Amino acid sequence: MWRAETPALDKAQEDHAITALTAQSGNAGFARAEGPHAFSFPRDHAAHPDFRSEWWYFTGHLRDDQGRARGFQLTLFRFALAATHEPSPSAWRAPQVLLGHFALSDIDAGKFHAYERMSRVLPGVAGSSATPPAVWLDDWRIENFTRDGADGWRIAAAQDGVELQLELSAASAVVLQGEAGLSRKSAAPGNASYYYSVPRLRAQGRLRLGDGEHAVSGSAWLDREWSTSALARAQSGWDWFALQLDDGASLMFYRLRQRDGGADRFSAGTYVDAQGKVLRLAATDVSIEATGVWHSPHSGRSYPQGWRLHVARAGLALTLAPRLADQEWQGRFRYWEGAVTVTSDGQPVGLGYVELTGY
Amino acid sequence: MLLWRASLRLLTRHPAQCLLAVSGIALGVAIVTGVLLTQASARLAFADSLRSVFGAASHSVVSLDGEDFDEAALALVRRTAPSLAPTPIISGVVRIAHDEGLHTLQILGVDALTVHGNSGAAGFALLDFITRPGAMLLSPRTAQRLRLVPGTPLAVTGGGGAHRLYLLALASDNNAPVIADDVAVVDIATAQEVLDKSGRLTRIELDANTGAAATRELAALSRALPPRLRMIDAARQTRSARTLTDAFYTNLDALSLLALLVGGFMIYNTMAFLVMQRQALFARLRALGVSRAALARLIVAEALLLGSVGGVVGCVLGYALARVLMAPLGQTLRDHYFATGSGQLVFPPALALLGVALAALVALAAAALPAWSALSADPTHAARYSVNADGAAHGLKRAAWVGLICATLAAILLGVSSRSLYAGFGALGATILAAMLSVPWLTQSVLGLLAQHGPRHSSLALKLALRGAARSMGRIGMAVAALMAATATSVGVGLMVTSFRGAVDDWLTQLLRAEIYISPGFDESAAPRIDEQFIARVSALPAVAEVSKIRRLRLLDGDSELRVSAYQLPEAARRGFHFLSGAPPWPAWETADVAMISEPLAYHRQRRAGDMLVLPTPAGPKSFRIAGIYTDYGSERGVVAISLARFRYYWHDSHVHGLGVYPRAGAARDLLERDLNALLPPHGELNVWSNAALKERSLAVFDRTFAITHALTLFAAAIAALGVFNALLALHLERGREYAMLLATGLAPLTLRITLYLQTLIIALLAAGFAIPLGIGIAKLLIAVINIRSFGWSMNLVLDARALLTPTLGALLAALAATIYPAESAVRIDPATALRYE
Repeated sequence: MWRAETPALDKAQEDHAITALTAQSGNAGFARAEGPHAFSFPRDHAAHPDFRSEWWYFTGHLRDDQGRARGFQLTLFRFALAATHEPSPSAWRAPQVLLGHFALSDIDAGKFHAYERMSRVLPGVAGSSATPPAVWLDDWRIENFTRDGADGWRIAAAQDGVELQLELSAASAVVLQGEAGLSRKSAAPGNASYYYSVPRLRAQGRLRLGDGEHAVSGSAWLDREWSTSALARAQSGWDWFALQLDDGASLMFYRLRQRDGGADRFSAGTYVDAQGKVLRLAATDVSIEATGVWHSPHSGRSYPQGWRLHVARAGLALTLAPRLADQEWQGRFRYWEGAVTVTSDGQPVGLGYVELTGY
Repeated sequence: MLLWRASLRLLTRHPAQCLLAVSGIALGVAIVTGVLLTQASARLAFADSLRSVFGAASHSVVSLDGEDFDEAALALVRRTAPSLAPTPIISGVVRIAHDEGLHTLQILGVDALTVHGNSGAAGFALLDFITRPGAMLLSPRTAQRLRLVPGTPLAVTGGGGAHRLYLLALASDNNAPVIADDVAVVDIATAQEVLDKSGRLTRIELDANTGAAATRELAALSRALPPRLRMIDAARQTRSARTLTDAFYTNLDALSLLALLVGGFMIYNTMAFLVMQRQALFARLRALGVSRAALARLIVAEALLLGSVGGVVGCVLGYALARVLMAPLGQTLRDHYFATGSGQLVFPPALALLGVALAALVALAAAALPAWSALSADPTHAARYSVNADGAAHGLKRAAWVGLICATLAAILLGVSSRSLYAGFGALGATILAAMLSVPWLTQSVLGLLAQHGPRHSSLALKLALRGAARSMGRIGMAVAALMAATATSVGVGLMVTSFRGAVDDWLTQLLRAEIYISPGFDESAAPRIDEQFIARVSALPAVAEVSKIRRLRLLDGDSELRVSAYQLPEAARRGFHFLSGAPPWPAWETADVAMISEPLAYHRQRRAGDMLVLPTPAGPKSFRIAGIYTDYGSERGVVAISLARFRYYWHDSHVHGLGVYPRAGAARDLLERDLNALLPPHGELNVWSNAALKERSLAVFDRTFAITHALTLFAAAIAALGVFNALLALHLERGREYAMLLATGLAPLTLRITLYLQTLIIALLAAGFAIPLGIGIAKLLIAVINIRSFGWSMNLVLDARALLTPTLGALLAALAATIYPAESAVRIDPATALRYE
């Protein structure tokens, strides 16, 4: 989950291209997430260019054939700079931009590899297709497929000697977040997104990192979201948690933080138990307490580091700890997105990903 | 203390002399700093335009033939070298529809999302920049010249027809990138639309300045690029662009050399005079017991003070001079090199320091010699030392000897070097210096001879004038030498330019064999737009007998650019080439890998007829045999000419840049021109030229190029004339007592006046007499040494009367004019007052 279009995104980063661009562009002409949406797959796996922004967000945990642990993130963002454009013989006239983030957390070596790419939608460089649903930026590619009636994804990214190719097959149903996929982010109508997740994907593939290519396997999480405007001005950022528990349950919760430091009442989440039963979580259902702080040597910012998370309605009392302290993005946007371990009463009970923005 | 007061009294009692000294030094410094400043500013301002848009690119991917390439290459570059942050650039030229003091605008299309160094790009309306067609950024000066404020539209004509751009923001606005003058930075989509280059890129810039992956990706990229593309590093790119303009700067180098000589002599003249004038005073002080060291300190302090004051004033004047010179210089750079730049005057502090230091040092050096002779003299003897004694004559003789050494040095420099441009300049400088050093002694000797063996029955005025002129050489000799040198340089440069223009004129007349030409009007870098169908339509006109075709391309050959012209020439056109060596290539022209090369290329690459030249073609490197070397003044770096048939064979490209149309006998030319105009595509990227118009246009560019040269030599001459004025005024001030005596003893004021003018006339005539042969010598050096060594162009020296006489007459008149004030004030002296003085 990631909202680059919000003017409140990141104080010090507001001078950066996309933030500035989206802050400058009005919402006129774009579709808005105002009412229920009839989700249909694989159609909704493909791009929704009528909305201003959209993303395909994969995170996950892998182990290679030598047992080494890695976390990964591959995200492609789509931004529309304008709702329409004049006809032109130049392909550059199309006002759609793709931004890619690819990160690999080498847990054992304590290294965080992160790469960013950006391009206007352009033949041969960046684009998307509806059948099959796919989106690509250079050789970074996310493509959906259906095999024996089940959803699957092929994702690939490579840069600077780090190459990841995975085939992901859905091990859980699609979870529609919010009100049947309509995720309200503030009281204003239209300040909402369409949002679904696939909380459990089985991952199989290959990873090249340092000493050569290795087979890897593990599990991944997909978040899909598209919207035209989402956050309200009073909101300064968010903390997002996506946890896969060993008992087969999954938990997603985002806490919208207000500029005054408090949690916004539109914070929300979902708990899906091992049987697939979905429990919607409201702001008051989850209590989160940061247990430490990490000062980034790169940006000088301070991020919370380690949490205690209580969800009484689901009977959860969890402790989260980063698998690496330094999983900070230092590209056009600065945020922390990293792999975490989940324990309960000192016992490991799962793995997850946490995203911290607006710090 | 007494001593310092004496010095101070001299300076305050004779404010005129003091002023003359400071102004002499200031003018000397002004011409040096003025020329150097112009040169430095031009280099800086126009180097900027060569650099990548926003600065950070370390490498570029360009096409081997210098033309735009398919943007599909961007996908390959992005995949192969993602860490190098590839960013595409497209550039071209548009014509401004309603000429508002600027004819053309360079279009620079960028992708604001990936362009290097854009972290602050959000400060201006980035979204509008990308999404609104026609949005452009301009430098404030360019906007001012076009009278545009943000929001106003500008109608332009580009390759794709008529378009409207509009000024989105000024480059000085909050956070917007700094851009050069005459450049419109637009979004890449707008650039492709306006230039009709959709799907094309001019280059892809890379930033390999950071990241460990850079080296690996650079290597991978050079392996992965298709044969038509190639990666060059920015330093190399700048270097190759530099060599292009370097030749242009040699012109200015020669002028700074002249400025340095004239300026140095001005200062020398002033200071030496100030010391020599007081030899008697110094002798008296020595007799009173003042030590040599104390006097030496005094002179040094004086020299440093006057030098510094003059140096500061000179820097200010030099700045003003540079301001005047910048405009024509910028135009020349635009004409020839399609360079754009801020055209702004920069004032590096080092240069100001250099100006002041130069003034102080030359002033010191100038004071040293006369001071040494004044101080070493026996005080009792020296007290009687009159204004013009043997000492001065000795000085002149000594200078003449040094001059002879300089002349020998010049001869040696020319003898041992065959290609070095520096040696050429050294020889030129040494020659002028030799002449300057020996002219005062020569003049004095001639005057002495005339006085001795002149007509017995000459008038009193003439006798007095001859004697006075000979006696004054010790004082004004240096000023006269400077005037002579400046005049000679004017003559030399004038002769060279006239000869050059004549050669270009002849060459154009011979070359432009077709009656009518069709070529792109203004954008030399434009893509070839003439296709087979268009040629067929032209050939099909009943009045057309034959058509010649030219396709230009710029190949990257190692570090440098190689210009190639591919010709298809009918018999008549072939006669337009004049071969300096080798044989015409025509027998095998269409069928074999044979080439002819222009004279500059032969010089720079040291190739002769019969040698091989390797051209990088899409089919790999191919060896072409050089059949002959031909005259060409079109490109100072030189051109390789091959046949259009061979070009098409290797490049698989049928487009050409220009056509020459040969009408049938008896065809009406105006009707043919009309028919051809009707065939042109509507958007103005092609023009029909008559050969006369084309020639006129070429010569106009030539004249503009040398306008600044003319202006500078004239300026140097004017400064030298001012130097003569200074020297004469000082001389007459000093001789006031002598004149008073003459007037008191019954000399008619009119006779004195005639004497003084005659004296100047005699000296000036002699100086002019020396200036003419020296001027011819300089022209010879410029043509046979400097031009050849910097451009590789040969030509014959033409002794044009106007070029010879205009500066000479100018110098004569200037010298006479410089006499008016001193002569008139000398005549008005009241003898009684003047004699009582001292």
